[in-house]
Amino acid sequence: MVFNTGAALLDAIVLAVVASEAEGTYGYKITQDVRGVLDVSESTLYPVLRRLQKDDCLEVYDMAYAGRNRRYYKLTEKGAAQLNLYKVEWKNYSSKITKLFEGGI
Amino acid sequence: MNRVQFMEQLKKLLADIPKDERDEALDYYESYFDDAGPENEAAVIRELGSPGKVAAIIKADLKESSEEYAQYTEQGYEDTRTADDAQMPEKRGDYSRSSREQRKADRAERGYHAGKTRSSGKVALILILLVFLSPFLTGAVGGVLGVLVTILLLPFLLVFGAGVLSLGLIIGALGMGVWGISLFAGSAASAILTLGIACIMLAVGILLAAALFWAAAKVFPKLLRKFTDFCYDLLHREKKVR
Repeated sequence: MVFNTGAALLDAIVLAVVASEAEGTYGYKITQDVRGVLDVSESTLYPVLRRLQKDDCLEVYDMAYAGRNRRYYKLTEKGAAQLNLYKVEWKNYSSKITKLFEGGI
Repeated sequence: MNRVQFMEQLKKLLADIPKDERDEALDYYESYFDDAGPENEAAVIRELGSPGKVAAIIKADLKESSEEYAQYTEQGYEDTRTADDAQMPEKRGDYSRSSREQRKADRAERGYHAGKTRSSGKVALILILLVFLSPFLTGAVGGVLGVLVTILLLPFLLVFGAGVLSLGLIIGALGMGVWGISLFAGSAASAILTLGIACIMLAVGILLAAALFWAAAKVFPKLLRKFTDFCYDLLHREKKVR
């Protein structure tokens, strides 16, 4: 991609990906989903998830899957609020750019 | 390199971070491999890069150090922060403070304010202007300053004088009282006159002292407040004009 992705935008995308699964989702799937829309290295997602978890935006729980424990991530209330904030900011930001690109300020 | 070797190297490289962080990261990547499945093992290792890179990113995030953050916090948004209505969140890598509480607070408001750096340019401009104008200013400022200091000190001088006066009057009255009592032995009339003068002096002294206390308690704070308000207005107006 030509455009850079800032840390906040990456946070927002991860939160949105996790939010799309009501039952929660796991690391590998989150990575694949994020990489579906954004070209990020696989190794960048873990720190993002870990930090969002520490900041109480994500909660984790373990569930047995195929004879082992799988760690699931789920949005907290705070995470949902944060995601909403990001969405509003993004709408604001992107609509201005779009408006500019399509002629007339 | 296979999965087992990858994880072992990663474990070694993460030896110097807290145990819970290390276990958490190793758990994550173990299940990452599990979820990817054996058929994707090679692809995952290729995509993750070296264990060194994975470890570096984990450590960089723990430290929140700005240089290492550059790994994935790109530079693109930097200049929008100085713009008036920057809509883009600030880069997280910008701060190197390590306190988690502080970071949390920063994160909470991260990106939703803009233009903090705007005023420094103006301040610099004003300072330069002041330096250039200083030869003309010092003369005028010196005169004005002298008058101002006198005006400022005047109330204090007045208060000091009044205080000394009232104290002198009270002490004098006491002395005259004693003298008047001693005069009773001679003529009663002069004794009473002296005592009367002593009483008047005492009354005036006490009145003056009371007036002084009243001024100190009520008038001076009010004056002071008015003065500070005046200064504030002055500065404020100056800002508006600028």
